Amino acid sequence: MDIGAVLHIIGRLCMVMSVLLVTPLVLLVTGPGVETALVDAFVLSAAVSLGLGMALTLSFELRQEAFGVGEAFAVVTASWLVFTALGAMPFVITDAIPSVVDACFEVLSGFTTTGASILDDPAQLSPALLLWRSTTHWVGGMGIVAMSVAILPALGAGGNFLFQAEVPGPESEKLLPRISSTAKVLWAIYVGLTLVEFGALWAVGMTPLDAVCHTFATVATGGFGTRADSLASFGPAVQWIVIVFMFLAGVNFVILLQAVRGRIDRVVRNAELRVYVLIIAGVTLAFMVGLLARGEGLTGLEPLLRDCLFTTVTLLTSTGFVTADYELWPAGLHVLVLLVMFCGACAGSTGGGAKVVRLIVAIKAGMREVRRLLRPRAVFVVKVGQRTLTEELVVKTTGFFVLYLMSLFAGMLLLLLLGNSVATSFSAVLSCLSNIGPGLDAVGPTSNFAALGDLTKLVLMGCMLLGRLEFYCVIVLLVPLAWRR
Amino acid sequence: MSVSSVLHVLGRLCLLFGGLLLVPLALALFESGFGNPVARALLGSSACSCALGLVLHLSFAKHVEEFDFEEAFAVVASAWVAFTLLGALPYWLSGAIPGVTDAAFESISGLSTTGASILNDPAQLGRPLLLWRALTHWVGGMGVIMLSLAILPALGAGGNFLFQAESTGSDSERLAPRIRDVSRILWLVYVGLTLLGVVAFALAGMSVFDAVCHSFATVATGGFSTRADSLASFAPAVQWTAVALMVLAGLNQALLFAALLGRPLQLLRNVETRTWLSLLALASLLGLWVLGSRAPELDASVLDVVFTVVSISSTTGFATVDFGLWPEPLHVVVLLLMLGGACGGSTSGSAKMFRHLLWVKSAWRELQRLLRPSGVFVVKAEGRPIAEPVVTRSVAYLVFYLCAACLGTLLLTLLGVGGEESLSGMVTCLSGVGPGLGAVGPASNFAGLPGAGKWLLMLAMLLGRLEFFAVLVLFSPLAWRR
Repeated sequence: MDIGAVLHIIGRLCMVMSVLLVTPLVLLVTGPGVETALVDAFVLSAAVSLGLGMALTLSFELRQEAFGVGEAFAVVTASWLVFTALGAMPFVITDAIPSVVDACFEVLSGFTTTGASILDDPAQLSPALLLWRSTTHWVGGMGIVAMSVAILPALGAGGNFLFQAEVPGPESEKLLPRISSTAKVLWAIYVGLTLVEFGALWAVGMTPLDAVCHTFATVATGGFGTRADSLASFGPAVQWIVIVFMFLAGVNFVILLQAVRGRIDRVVRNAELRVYVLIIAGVTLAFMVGLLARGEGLTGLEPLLRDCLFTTVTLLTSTGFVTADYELWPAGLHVLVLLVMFCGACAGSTGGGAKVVRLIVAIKAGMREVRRLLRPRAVFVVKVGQRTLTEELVVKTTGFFVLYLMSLFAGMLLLLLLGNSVATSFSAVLSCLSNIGPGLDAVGPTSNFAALGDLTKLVLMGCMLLGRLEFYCVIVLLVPLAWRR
Repeated sequence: MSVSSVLHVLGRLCLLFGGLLLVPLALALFESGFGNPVARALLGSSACSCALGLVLHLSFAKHVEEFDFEEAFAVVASAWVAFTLLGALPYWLSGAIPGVTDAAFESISGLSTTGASILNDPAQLGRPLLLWRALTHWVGGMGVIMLSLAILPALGAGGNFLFQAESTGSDSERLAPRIRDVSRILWLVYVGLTLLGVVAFALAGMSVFDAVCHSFATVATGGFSTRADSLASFAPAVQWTAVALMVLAGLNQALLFAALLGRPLQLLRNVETRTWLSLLALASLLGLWVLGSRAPELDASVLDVVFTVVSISSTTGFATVDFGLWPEPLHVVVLLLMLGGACGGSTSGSAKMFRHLLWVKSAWRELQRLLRPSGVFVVKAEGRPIAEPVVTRSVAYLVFYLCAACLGTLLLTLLGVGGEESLSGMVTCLSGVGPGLGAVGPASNFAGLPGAGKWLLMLAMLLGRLEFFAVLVLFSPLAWRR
């Protein structure tokens, strides 16, 4: 591993971070009543980022020939950590979140688009800090698009193979010839989604700040709101708009691009999208039936449908906004909530979780084993849509599931050892690994992560990072091969 | 699929099963003659079994040339179901267990060597039925060994790569070239282990009857005891004996045979053996540490902790203490041990060490592939490369297993069972362990669950015992094609 090259790149990224840290200043300076303490905090944070960035860039040089796969993984993992530390500075300096661990938790939760918060009432934060908090979501989401589109496929790291599958096909179907230009197009979609949602939310009467914050949190499938009760106290119109955009943010961006280009046939043919829609429909229906069967507190069909659909989409896309306290729902539905949390959105989106396409591959791989038992000498392949998957991809995908579940158990064991309850431990780890936000019990939708111990928070931060970088990207740094020259 | 061949073989197996029912019948007659309803129930069950067997055997002809993989799987799955129903007859006819659901639950729990019971106090069954209960374990365990070491590898579907790796060395090392010989050897080991168990338990202070029943339950890694408090009220010597026997039962029986033939190194050098023994040591130490630091008031002894770890990990399910009272982190350890299982080629259930080894190794390979995208890496065990299908099947098995656990838990909670009971009950039945946590914990039993929940758990026991694939195969259209 060429550590110099890694540090050089991180230095460059720090400089980008300093620019990001200046953006809330625009709001501060243009808005009414400039708070000098806040301005100072952001300026100081930006200065530290810039200084660190320049120091790293100048002291270490990047040798192109030394920059290999191992270095790329190191940059991705390390940059997430450095950004977290830098991003937490405004919160700590202004004393809005006095504890360093809490501030880092909040910011990493933002960057990984988890949305798990330690704040009792976000509304008490000043507008600039609220904006910064949501900006971390937006930047994180952007980073995921870049990473999953530009970096991971180039390294053959899977995870987003449907995207790969879309790209190299027959010549005429090629999306764009180069990875960097593909990333640009996908970023354009991301920005486009952001603008359209902002417009829509503003049009139905949200304040500009609320609209920006919620838009950032939605398109990144993050989940930070501006109020303690998340989206519950906003009107039905806002909730419907957010449902639509959470759904879109959970779709593979390449598919969105094709939809924009009018290639509806390819969108409809997409196997993952079909299953994604089916899951949403099925789970919403199950929630509705479960609540209707209980028959309590029903206020009409539209609110019921809205609550159930919202909960399904918010959990499946790993956003984590809340309109209904699902903890008050019948116990049987809690397990369904956990299953949806596990499932995740489509690959190539900003959503977390295991991803629908992996689920499809795992099930098909299982069915193939059954057929293989009956015809031991026959050759069976696993197909998704029209594409035949390579054996490596099948093993990697099924292996991912097992890795995911084992991490879940290990994390849960650690949290239990640290003295948390069973429901809290299980749901908090699942929620953080899938980058959702709320869990059950002590970390339920009407509660937050503040009451947990510092060590517990650190374990959960590790889970967020592992889940966001899809395990392999982090764990690969433990392989001796990665450190060999 | 040639249904008639399947039914013909099934008939023959039913005849055998009818013969087996004569064993407790003999005990019942010896004890109290025909006046006893238990004796009449056992006789009736045996007659039913034999009659069914004869009818099937005579009405359907076997076409040897048509007997293939799908027929073998169909025989295995249908035999387990038929035996469950026939094995429940003695409980039901004698009135010892009035409900059909409960009787079937007890029967399949025995045959699948799970050991989950719906009885508050087994001692009230009387000795003949207790013997029958233990005998179902023993038969089930034998069936599993045959399935995993003799039948599946012969069909080219062996999951147990380590055993294959051992036996396909140089020709002189080959354990036995044909199924028949392999089966005979495994019979010998199994029967030998059982006898050893009887003698050891008796020497440690059990009555001969208890020694026989517990030996059956131990070598089959079942877990049915003759007392309501399992092994808690037996002397420490008995408990230590049980620990040793459970460890032996959890090892690969073929390697155990090799060790008996004077090649103990083969057993000790085996990766799977070493992994499992290390896991046992590690879990025991963790248990002692957590108990010592978190719950000194429980005053748990080393024996209690080691016993629990070995009992759960070998998927036996005997208990000397109520681990439900232990601190919560240990509940997760118990669940993880249930997911782990013992070695392949043993009577233990669950995923087994070799699948976990293969999964970890394949994950490690993925990491290397990430770093060297164009490199070629193979998964190896003991220096030998493992065939790719074996790796994919093991990982796919784990996915099936974990998905089944999740779905089963969901269904149980929907039936109104508590969360802890649902999860631990499902995992314990899929893994063939026996006790779970909470209301289905070691100090309690499965009687309080709703009827539908019991049927679901029965299905879980069957699926887990037949390792999913042997059952799922029958749902594939390929299996029904001529």
